[in-house]
This record gives sequence, C-alpha cells and structure tokens, in this order.
Amino acid sequence: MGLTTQDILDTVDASRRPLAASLVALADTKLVLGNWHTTCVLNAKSLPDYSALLAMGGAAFGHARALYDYLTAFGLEYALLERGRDAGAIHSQAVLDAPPEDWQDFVVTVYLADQICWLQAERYLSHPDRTLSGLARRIGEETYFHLKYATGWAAEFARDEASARRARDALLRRYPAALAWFPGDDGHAPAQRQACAKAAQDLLDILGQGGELGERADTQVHAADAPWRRRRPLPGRLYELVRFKDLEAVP
Amino acid sequence: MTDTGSGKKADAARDHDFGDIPCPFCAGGRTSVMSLFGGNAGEVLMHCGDCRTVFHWVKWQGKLPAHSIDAA
Repeated sequence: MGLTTQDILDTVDASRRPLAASLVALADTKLVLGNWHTTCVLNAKSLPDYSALLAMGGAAFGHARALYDYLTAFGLEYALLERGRDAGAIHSQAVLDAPPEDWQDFVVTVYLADQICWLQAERYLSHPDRTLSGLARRIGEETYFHLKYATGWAAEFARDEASARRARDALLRRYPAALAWFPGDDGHAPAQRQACAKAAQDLLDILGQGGELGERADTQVHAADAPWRRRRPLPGRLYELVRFKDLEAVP
Repeated sequence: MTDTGSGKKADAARDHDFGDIPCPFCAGGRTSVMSLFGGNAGEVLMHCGDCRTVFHWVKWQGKLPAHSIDAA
C-alpha cells in the first residue's frame, strides 16, 4: 500500500501541518480540476469554449504546480507531490469525484469546485508570507473569470427549461459534497459554508429555477469528517485519468 | 459572424466588467468581447466597433470573487 496524505503530512513540522494539509488539498483539487477541463474540452460547444476550457485547465494546472512548489518549503518533495502518489494520497474535493453526466453537470461542478478553491485560498490573502498571499491573490484573480464563464453558461441554460432543469438537478446532486468540504471544527468553516451556499444559491437563481438550497441534512459535516483528515482514496477511474502515465520517462 | 454580433455586444455593454473598456488604438468606446479567454488565460479578446481592430485586454484589474471572511 502506498503513502496516504497523513503519511506525507506527518513529515511536516506539527505547527505547520494544518497549513500544509490545506494547501495540499487545494493543490490536489486544482490538479483534478485541470484534468476535468482538459478531458472535457472536446465537449466544448464553440471555439471560444475550447479556448476557455483550455485556458482554465492551464490555470488550474499552473496553480497546482505553484502550490506544490510552495510546499517544498515545508520539507515536502516536489516530485512526490506532483506525480509520486497513489490514489489514497491525493486529496482533492469530493465534489469532483464523479464524472460529469452532461454539459450542465460539468459547468455546475467546475463552478462549485472553483468557488470552494477560492474560499479556501482567500484565507491566505493576508498571510505574512508574501509568496503565499500573492499566490492566493492570483488564484482569486483567475477564479473571478472562471466563475464568470460558468455563470454565463448558467444564463444560457436558463433560456431553455429542460436545460435549466438539468443544471438544477446537477447542482442539487453536487451541493452536499461541496458544502461538506469545510470541516466543522475549523474557525473559518461557518463563513466559508455560508459563502459556498450563497454561491450555489446565486447559480440556482441565475438558472431561474427558484427554491432554496439552505443547509440540508445531508450537508451537515462533523469534525471527524473533515475532508483532509479522511482517508478517501480517489476513485479508480479518476485516478487513472489524473496520474502521470509515463513515470519512467521522468528523470 | 452577424448572428453572433449584436446580441453578444449588447451583453458585453451591460457587463460591468467589460462595459467601459476603451479601444487602445482609437479610444472608441464601442468595444465588445470576442472571447473571454484570448491568446492566453490572462487575456480577453476584444473587438472595437469603431476602428474594427481586435485587441487583447489583460483581465486581472485586481478583481477578486466575493469574500467569505472580513479579514480578506
């Protein structure tokens, strides 16, 4: 059995472990998100869509790479973080675990994932380490337009009832996993969950589907379930997509 | 091109992110978004309705998504 996230984090100084855990999870999510974009690019609906998906995928990979590089300051090895881990050690958001069922699901899911990444990254905007605060700002600046892409599509979905309904169904299906990302015992979690819920509600409103998402029972999260403490292996098919295939070629 | 033109230009004009971007060549205000992502991830591809030039607009401008925490 390969390394788990905890095995990797155990090598980090205890006082810096929560920060390292958060950044590994953020970077891993960006890695998976980049794969979502680049894998789904052939489903793009137009040339602007192609360029948008490739750009957003590139941005996500760039964020992952920058964060892995930043984590080397914690004593972690870049090659291990980027391409040396098995499915049990990649700690991306669960909202990205299941593949998109249709275009509406794709747009809704990347919106939620980008939103969650931002809510996680914004905590570091005022971090005393200017490298980290700068990284957080750059992630935010790029995410601003990623969210704009998704809300633009949501407005298009709203023009067709069947399409809007598929997007709403996807949102309702993904929402619990999105909200559960923020651990219950983290001081920032209530505000993050509230902001995540508002972002999801905003999307639902753009879709013109009405209704209130709110705090449903299946979105309740407990301290023991904090995502980066749970040993949740990446689903096999997703790992097969994400993992680097030709490690022998890497010096 | 025609059918993609008027609607999207009207949308861009209403969009607070793109509504007041002047053309860098003629300073005209009738600019519109051609593609939200241009030659690279950091640029929007714009079109000027006055001098008909295509230009890139660097998108950051310090904009960030909504915050959840006051300290940010």
